Amino acid sequence: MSVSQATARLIAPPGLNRRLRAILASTGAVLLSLVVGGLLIVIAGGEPISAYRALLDGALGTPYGMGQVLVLAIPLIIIGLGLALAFRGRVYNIGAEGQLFMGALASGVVAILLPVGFGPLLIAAAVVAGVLAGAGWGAIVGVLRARWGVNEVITSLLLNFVAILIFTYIVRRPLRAPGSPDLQGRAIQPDAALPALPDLAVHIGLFLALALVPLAAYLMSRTPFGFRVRMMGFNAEAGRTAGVRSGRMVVGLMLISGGLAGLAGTLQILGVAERLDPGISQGYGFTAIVVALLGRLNAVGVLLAALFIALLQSGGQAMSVIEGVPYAIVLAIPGVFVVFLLIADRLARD
Amino acid sequence: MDWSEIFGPDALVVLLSSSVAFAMPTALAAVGETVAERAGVLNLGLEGMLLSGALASFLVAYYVGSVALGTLAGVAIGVGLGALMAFLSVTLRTEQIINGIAIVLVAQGITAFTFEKLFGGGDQPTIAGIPDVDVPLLHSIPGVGPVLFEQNVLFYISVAVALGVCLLLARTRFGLSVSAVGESPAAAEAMAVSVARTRWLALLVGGGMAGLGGAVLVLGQLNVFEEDVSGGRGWIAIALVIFGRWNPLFVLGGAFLFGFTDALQIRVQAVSGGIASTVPTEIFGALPYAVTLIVMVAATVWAGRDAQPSALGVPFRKGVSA
Amino acid sequence: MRLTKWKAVPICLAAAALAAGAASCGDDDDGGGGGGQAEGKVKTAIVLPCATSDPWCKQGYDAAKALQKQGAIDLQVTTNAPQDTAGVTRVLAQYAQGGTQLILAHSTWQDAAFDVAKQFPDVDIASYSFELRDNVAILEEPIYQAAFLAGMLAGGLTESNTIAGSAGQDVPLCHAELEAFEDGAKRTNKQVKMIDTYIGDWNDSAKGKQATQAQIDQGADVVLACGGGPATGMAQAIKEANISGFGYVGDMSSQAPNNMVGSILYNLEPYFKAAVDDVKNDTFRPAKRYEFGLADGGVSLQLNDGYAVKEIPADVMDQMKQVQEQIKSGKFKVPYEAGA
Repeated sequence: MSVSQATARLIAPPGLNRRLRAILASTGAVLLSLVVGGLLIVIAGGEPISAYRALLDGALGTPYGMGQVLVLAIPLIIIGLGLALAFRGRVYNIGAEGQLFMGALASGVVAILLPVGFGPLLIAAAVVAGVLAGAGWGAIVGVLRARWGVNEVITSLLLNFVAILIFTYIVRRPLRAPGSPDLQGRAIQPDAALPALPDLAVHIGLFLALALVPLAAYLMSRTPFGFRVRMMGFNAEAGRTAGVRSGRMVVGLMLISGGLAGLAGTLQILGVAERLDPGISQGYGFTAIVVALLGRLNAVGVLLAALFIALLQSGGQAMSVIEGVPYAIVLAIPGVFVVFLLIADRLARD
Repeated sequence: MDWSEIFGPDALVVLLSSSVAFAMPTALAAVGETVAERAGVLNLGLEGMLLSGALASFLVAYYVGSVALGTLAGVAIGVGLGALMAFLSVTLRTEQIINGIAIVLVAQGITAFTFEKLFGGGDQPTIAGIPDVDVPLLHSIPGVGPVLFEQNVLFYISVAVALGVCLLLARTRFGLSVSAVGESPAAAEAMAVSVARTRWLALLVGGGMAGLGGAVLVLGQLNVFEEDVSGGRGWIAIALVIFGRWNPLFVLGGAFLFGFTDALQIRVQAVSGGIASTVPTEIFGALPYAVTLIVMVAATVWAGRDAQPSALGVPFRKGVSA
Repeated sequence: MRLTKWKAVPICLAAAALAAGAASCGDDDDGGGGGGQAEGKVKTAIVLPCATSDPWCKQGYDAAKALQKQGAIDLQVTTNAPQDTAGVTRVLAQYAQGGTQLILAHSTWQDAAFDVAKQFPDVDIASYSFELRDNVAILEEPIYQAAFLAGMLAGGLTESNTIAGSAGQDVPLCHAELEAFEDGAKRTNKQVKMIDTYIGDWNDSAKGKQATQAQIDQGADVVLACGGGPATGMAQAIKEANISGFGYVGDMSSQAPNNMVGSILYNLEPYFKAAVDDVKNDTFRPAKRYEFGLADGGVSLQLNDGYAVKEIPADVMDQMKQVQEQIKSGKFKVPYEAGA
């Protein structure tokens, strides 16, 4: 028998109830990753127990800390939902980072320049601009695949770099913050800033992100569209049988996932940075891929995975400060956790 | 602006010679990845393998003083990480994409940490470079000669390895197994080709080549190591595999095209006078990506068929039909 | 394949249990730093955006360590800080929460600094911002002043009348440095021509090397750089081509011992010391600009004894020394050209 089958039998003897095996496997994974993470911490000169306590304390110990976790989770949830949908249809959108930045750029420009005094209207205009920009940027990829069969992985990947360069240029010249010695863009009009929740230090975009979860779940499992996406993802034959116009579907999925990434970028500008800031994202579009996969491409899974990853990252940053563990090691720990969870998942399924 | 300063025969030779050298690490990683993906495994850990190979080779070269041993160390680390990827993706059959990303994260963390621990707070450590060696006779060929045959030893080794792997894929039994396993693993298994073993070997080759790429980057070109020295080459390499339609020779060509446009944009900036130029520098920066994209689209439209290995990214389970 | 609740259960239970445990211990780290008056050492943290082997981060690290050695501060260090604003905010907030009195945010992290300054009004922050807040001070970076002096030497050293500079991006800091280099060179050599290249990446020393090599191919024989990647790449390139160059921000002569004419030094000790003293004496607020230029020892051009490419003409050296005195005494102000 294979290695994995043998290990599976060790952890969860086949006689047990299937659900129980799943629980045991997941628990084993969490414990094992804690151990490996602890090892990394020891190598880095820290002390595992206090480090983990610092991680959780930093992330959840104060309202401000919890707000920080949520702020980190919001873009992951929104982009993750879009990617989960796209990946279901085997449309591998690797360009979410670029779509995020295009959305951020468009919404930022509107929020800076549009002479509308009424806050909610200005915000709405900025959001529309951001979503359209992200969707449009994604549509390029979709059309290239639908029309000419160009592989979307590479087109979306390369367009990331182009998008970031465009954003950088706008921040550097036309819309640079006056007086700034480095790359900082102009601030948005105060009316365009998203209000924050009192005490928690997170913007109201949180509600939007949370609202999208049941919406996405409904779309994915209870609508004909979601059904067709799944069929298309299964294989080409099944898609044809279900009457899927695959070209249209590809473009549609890129529009949706691109638009959602653009929305995430918009919220980063209006709610977090409140200016055109190149630092609004560091690979969030790629982290969202992990979130979508970890969440098994379904909406609730994406929500949980996003919160989980945000917790690890935010807490990890706090841990690096308290424990004196270099942040570089902290970066590695979410990766380790995720791998072990997937292994456990696989073992439980065997 | 004087275009002959860029495209005139002498200038062009200089440009080509430097871009070919700089493109080598990416090219090595890309060809290695082609082997892995042809076998059906999507190895996203390439960036981490390249980076780890770079650090390992730098450390050995720095402390031991031997470039040869440093290169071997780089390859060894790459092979080791390839084995890890194989264990996770082929033996345990977990999500290949996540395994790859996790390897990159862990590699970035550990290399940054190790380098900081060893050299933090001090001056930037450097190693002596290796000299260029002219290949007798060949380097006198007008045009091609100075470009390809006046490089350093690591360059020649890289070319040999890259071409060797291309041959491996095209002409050997192993190469045939790789294609079979990536296209139709169930059929391959039925013909007594071990899918698991082939994929393991493919990943070892892929990882080793990425590690070699890291060694070439540090020992053959930069003579320093710094955090994240790989600079995204691993990701570009993955894109280049698609660009080259999983044909190692086209992949190699794509790597050099990308490297050429990258070197070109820097040279154009130098010739055109920099600050005085009204063209935003970002346009120069975007040039390599835009060119690669356009060529990719043109090539796909022209060639038509989809070249992706059918079983790419799908874990294989014995006894279950795909 | 759904994430069934049976798999989610152990994860959630584990997280909940640990969170409950953490919440009960959360009281230890109550927010609010030590505030203004402090006897003895100032509790300080320095946050660096790169590794300490990077010239920019090394300068900050060395200065902070020097203060620590003098006994002025209790120091905590973070290297390789996250690249996104939210991540940096997290790190700064963690220090503020832990009772740090002064945070030295060694990069252009204005938004993060403001966010944390508002949330934790007891902490004092110094950063490379362009706006002041009551508890956020501005650190200036007048390296262009020393670049002018380097340019003067370059004008005398160049035989091809072509000099060059490479930078990460065309931001005012680097623009001003390269412009000052050109202005200084024109002072000693009217015919000099300057090439500028922006490689688009602060950390890519391979691109930096390529850029310098391209400049060398265009005839440049004296170069400088702005940014860690460009500078490190430049050092390797000048070593191989045996031309002259200037180090960036720290003493880079060890990277090209025979080819570095000198280095443009950015000494952060006076900056940090001023901030620390202000915190100690409760004079930090309202926060101010800290600027220590050539005249105050914050910036200088340090010559390298090992430089061996050619002899620096004596008259050029005298001119440079003269202008140096003029800058120090305030008689001459180096023009600051930040670009459009």
